Amino acid sequence: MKSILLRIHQSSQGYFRKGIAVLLAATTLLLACNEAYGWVAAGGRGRGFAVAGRGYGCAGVGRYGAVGFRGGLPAGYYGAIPGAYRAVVYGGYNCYYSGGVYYRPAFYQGNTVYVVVQ
Amino acid sequence: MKLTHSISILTIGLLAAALLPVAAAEPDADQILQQMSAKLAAAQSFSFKATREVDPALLAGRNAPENARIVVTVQRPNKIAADSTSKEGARRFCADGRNLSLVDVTKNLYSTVPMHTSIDGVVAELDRKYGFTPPLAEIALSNVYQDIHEKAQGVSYLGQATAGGVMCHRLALAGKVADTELWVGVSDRLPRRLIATVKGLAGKPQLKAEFSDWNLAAKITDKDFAFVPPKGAQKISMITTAETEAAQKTNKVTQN
Repeated sequence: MKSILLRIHQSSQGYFRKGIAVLLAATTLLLACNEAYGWVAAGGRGRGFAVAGRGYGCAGVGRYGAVGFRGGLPAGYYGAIPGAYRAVVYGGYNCYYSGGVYYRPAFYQGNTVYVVVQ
Repeated sequence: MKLTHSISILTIGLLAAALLPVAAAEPDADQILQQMSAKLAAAQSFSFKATREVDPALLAGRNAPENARIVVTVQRPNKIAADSTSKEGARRFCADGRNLSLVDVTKNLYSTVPMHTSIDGVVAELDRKYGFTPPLAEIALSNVYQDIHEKAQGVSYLGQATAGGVMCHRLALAGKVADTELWVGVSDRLPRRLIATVKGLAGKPQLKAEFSDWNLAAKITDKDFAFVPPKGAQKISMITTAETEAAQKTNKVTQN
């Protein structure tokens, strides 16, 4: 160890000032790199962008496969036929008859609903 | 003296280098999204499975969370099929570039409407005209990255965690109505988990999806998207948003 240090000393004797400059340059580089890493770190976490829109989650909740109904069901639309029913043909449609009302099956927002036939 | 001085300078330099904090570069959330999007876009025929759980607060008239198993098959540019199975029943969605068909397998009902467009067009047109989209269809878009950027207000990196035995990057997508966490595989850059937390509702209800069985080289043919009505199935109509709005003008909206 001592011989290595001695060699370092001997080689630096004529280049002391140059050695200081190199050391300072190296230190500066390190600092610059850390700042770069810091920027990446800060940028990676804080980096964002303002985009006006519906919002991924908003679209996502309603968009993930016809789950539920957006805004509820309009009047006259039912998710299930209320009460006991039987299949009949009415108004040219294959319907279901229950409690004096005819219901026609249809797809609404990807789900099966039963629409009152007027 | 000179040796001691040199050693001192060297020691100081080494100490300084050792003490200077070296911040590890955090993965770039945006770059991860780009890589995920690029990988999905490059796959011409692929399939995946998903389990979807929806909080009952997001389902009108239901108390139990809706859990569904979904299988999605894609053949770019214009074919997509999704089969969904849950306690509520089984449904099949199929678009072959010319028509779009929806089947309620449980009730033996089906509907077919014209849809001459790409997968991107199907998603947009269904949403616009009929008020819904096929399950998890956003994953099949030609540019998932662009779609996310159009909707999310911000993207940030949360860290790493394991989902389904796969180490994932956790990304946060901030939205106006809901915030979403998207987990992307570290090694394969594929979606592994999605958690959407809806804002403004008591209990912060969530929609969760777990992705698995990715096959980016699936052997898929046109026959996989050819629709044949099930035997004895009744053909019914698919109500449009315009028809619904017309109905709302004359009737009061109710929750059923």
